[in-house]
Amino acid sequence: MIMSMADANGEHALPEARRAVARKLRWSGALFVLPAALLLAALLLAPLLCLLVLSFTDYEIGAVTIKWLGFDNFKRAILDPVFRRAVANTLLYVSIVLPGGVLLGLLIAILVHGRTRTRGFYEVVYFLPVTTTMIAMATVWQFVLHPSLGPVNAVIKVVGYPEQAFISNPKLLIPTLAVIGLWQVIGFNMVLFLAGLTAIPRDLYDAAEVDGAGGPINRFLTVTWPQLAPTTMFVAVTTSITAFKVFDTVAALTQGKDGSEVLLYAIYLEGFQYFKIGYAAALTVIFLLFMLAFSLVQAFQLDRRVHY
Amino acid sequence: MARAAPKLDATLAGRAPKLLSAVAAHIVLVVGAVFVLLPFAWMLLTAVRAPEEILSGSLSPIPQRFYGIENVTQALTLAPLHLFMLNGVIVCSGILLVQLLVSIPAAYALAKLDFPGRTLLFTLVIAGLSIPIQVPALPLYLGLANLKLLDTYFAMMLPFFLSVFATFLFRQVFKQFPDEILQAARVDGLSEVEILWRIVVPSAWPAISAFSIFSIVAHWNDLYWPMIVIQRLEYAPPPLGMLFFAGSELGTNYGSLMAGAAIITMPLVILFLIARRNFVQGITMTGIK
Amino acid sequence: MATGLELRAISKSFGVNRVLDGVSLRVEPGEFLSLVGPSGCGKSTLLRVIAGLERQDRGAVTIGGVDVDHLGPRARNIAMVFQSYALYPHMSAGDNIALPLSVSRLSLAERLPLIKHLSPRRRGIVREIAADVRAVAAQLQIETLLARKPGQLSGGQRQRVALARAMVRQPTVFLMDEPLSNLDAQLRVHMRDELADLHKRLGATFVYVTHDQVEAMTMSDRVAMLDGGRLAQVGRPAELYAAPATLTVARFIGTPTINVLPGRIGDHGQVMLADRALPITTALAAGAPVSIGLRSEDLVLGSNLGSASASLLARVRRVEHHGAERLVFADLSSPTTGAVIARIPSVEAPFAAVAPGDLVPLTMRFSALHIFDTNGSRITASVPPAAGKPAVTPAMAEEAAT
Repeated sequence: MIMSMADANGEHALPEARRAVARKLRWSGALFVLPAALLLAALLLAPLLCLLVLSFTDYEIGAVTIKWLGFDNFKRAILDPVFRRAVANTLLYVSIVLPGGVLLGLLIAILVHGRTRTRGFYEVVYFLPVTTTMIAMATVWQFVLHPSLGPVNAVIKVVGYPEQAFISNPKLLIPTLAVIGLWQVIGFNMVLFLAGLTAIPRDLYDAAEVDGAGGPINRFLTVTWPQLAPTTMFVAVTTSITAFKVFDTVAALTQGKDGSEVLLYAIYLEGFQYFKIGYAAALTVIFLLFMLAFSLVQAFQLDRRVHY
Repeated sequence: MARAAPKLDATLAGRAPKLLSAVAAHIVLVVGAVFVLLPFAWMLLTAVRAPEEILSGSLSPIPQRFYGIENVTQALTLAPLHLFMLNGVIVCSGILLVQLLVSIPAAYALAKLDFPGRTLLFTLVIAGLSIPIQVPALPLYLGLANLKLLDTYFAMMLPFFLSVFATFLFRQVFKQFPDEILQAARVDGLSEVEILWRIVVPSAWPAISAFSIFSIVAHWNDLYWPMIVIQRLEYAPPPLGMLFFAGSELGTNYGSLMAGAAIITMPLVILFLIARRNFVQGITMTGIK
Repeated sequence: MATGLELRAISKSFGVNRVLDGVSLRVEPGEFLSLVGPSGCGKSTLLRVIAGLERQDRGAVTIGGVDVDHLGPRARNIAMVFQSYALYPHMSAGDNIALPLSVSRLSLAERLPLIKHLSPRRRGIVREIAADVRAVAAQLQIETLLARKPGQLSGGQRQRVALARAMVRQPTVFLMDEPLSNLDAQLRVHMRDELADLHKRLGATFVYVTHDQVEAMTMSDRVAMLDGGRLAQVGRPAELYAAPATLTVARFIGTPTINVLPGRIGDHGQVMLADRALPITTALAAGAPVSIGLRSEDLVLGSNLGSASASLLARVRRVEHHGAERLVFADLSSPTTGAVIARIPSVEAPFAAVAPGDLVPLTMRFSALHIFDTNGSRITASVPPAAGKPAVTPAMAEEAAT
């Protein structure tokens, strides 16, 4: 509209009209982002700032005074046996779910990719856990693993071993949680790997075959694995982040009792059950640092991908 | 000539046992599938079994007495499952609606319009991608508590009104939209609002529907935040309701507990089976990043 | 040195879709044979069957007299160049070229990360391979590109790397699947020249798949045209041009496309174009419909060719100037109907002024008419001696096809 008017006014009017259009677009742009910017400030920036400040104080809900503690909360966290156990448990959990989730996801994806008629069936089956409400399925798992009523222990007893208390035995608890975590993450990773596998040009496999790199091992080494490297890196990072945020299964199965604390559950307890806001804020900052570290790994990886 | 005289190499060897490798693949996949399906099967089986049969620990896949109706009825009377699901629907649709209304214009502006602070905002959006809800949860809780807004739908929805992920995703999608069409529309006299909603948004429909599924699944299943801001059962969304249900003394009534779990799990499973492609795309969309 | 290959009655179906239907073909040692045809005609599948990437349902493939049906691609000692080049994107150009050699000369353990360093003989072999790679790279003038990844190479450079990877094993048969189709027009013409040259230098057998008849006609010793999974015709390029075996071949080979006019057989066996009897006879029954094919260069402006020709009237629709010649697009006027293209050398001054809308006489050379029956098969037609004129020479045909 404005541009056509400018045309009618002749050549010399054009820059002025252009500027008018640009000004209008800038206004629209600013208006369009206004709600998002306000929400960003209110829901992300302000809370982050607030969190940082709180993490240096002894604030508790209902407390009359607030004291500036400096790094005391962080020092306390590092020495706190409960928090240390929570971090150790979380790392143990990640150390099972990360390699297991990546390797099993890759294995399942490669096997599923090779199927033709049954591919859809397996895709649905393996993806099913991803869609389910974890808290409900964790309850089901608890029952499946029940020492006397569950089918798993029934089978173990049939085979001739003593029944296992998967959830109340502290030694088995974190591995059990990790198996449930794997149960949910494998399908997700499978789909990501399938996308990566589908993107590999078939010509590359043909070329490898003609070049003499036929056979499953050679094909995998020459084409599949190098081609999937970026996907694998991405899957590893997302799996780590997911595993690091383990919470639902703990909430459903143990409520953090008996040495089953994980990072997020410890934060939840300190902050929202004991209302030690300052301390919980410090723990949250530590959690945030872990998250940022994962993001940095990912960003670094994305940068490298450009080289192809 | 090449030194490699034609030899019966690995390819020939790899051809004959093709059937064998297919069988091996199926064996591995079926074993995995049994592991994956085990809890579903046990949940459904238990949901239709009578209490005495459950307590006998029998492995029989066929219930001696069909007790499904009793279990479901009991689950529904003991725990307001329908209420939890209604809460889930309210919260998920509220969140999704605001997310789309906020992130679509912002994404369009970030992709196609020039305004002061564009780079800064985009940087913040990208940085926000790596911050999970657990990080701002404490201050947000304090704020809501101060405003006496705990135990409301609003409290459950508020932190998710801005989805930096949606903003980022739609910005990437809109960026692909050809500038010529926008210029043509401007010449035709369309306002930016009309251009956005009538021209750009329809073209981005696949991404929007994929994100919608992603958002619904994420918030239907979210436990952490509702657990913090909701104390009263009548506002509980499905996961929190399930937690109350399992934690109460009804939790030992396994038949109705499993029936309840099945009922709560069902909506998303059905959605998944209906719109499988979209669903997979929606949930794995994080892979596009 | 070079080996020939032979296909005997190859058939292949994908599900219910029969892609190849009894294709038999001999490729002589050192020959450059092109497989042409419209997309979906089965030419790529046939190439993949030769390579061993696809297994035929029936029939046999022999390479150098040896039955290779039970052999995988590698053991057939063939090399293949793919349309997409299929370079391994994570490897440098040099590593891409070296791969076929390292696979054959090093054991699996000697190629695995870390473990590979344990082998004492590995270094020597790696050095030999590098020397071989450099030698091939020198032949294709890509020595300076060996350290780059495929993503950092231009289309033409990738093409050369793919060729080098094919050449490095010194195979006796090269299979090429539309290797030039991803290049821009100018580079394509240049690479055509280089490929033909390479073929001469290597003396190897080339089987070259293309949908571009110009490529096939310009580079090959022989052209095999596939149509709907069957071999429509095999022959030297000039033969396909001058005596197409089917209407499809006639339409596929040559630019502009051959003119095809509807006709039928008259009472005395002569070919009729509308109500006009042409002095050509066939053995077909009277009344049978036929298609009359006529190349644009055999449709001459004017009516001065005497009894060896017949004039038609046509309304000029458009004239395209191609420098040395011009193409006249015209609609025949009644009773004959149809659109035709006539090609006239620009030096024919009297007709330089042909313009759209003009009504002009066009003359057919009887000797150059191709008659096809309703199945599209070529029918032998005899031209009475009085009407005879020297047939189109192969040299002319070849020139015309480009």
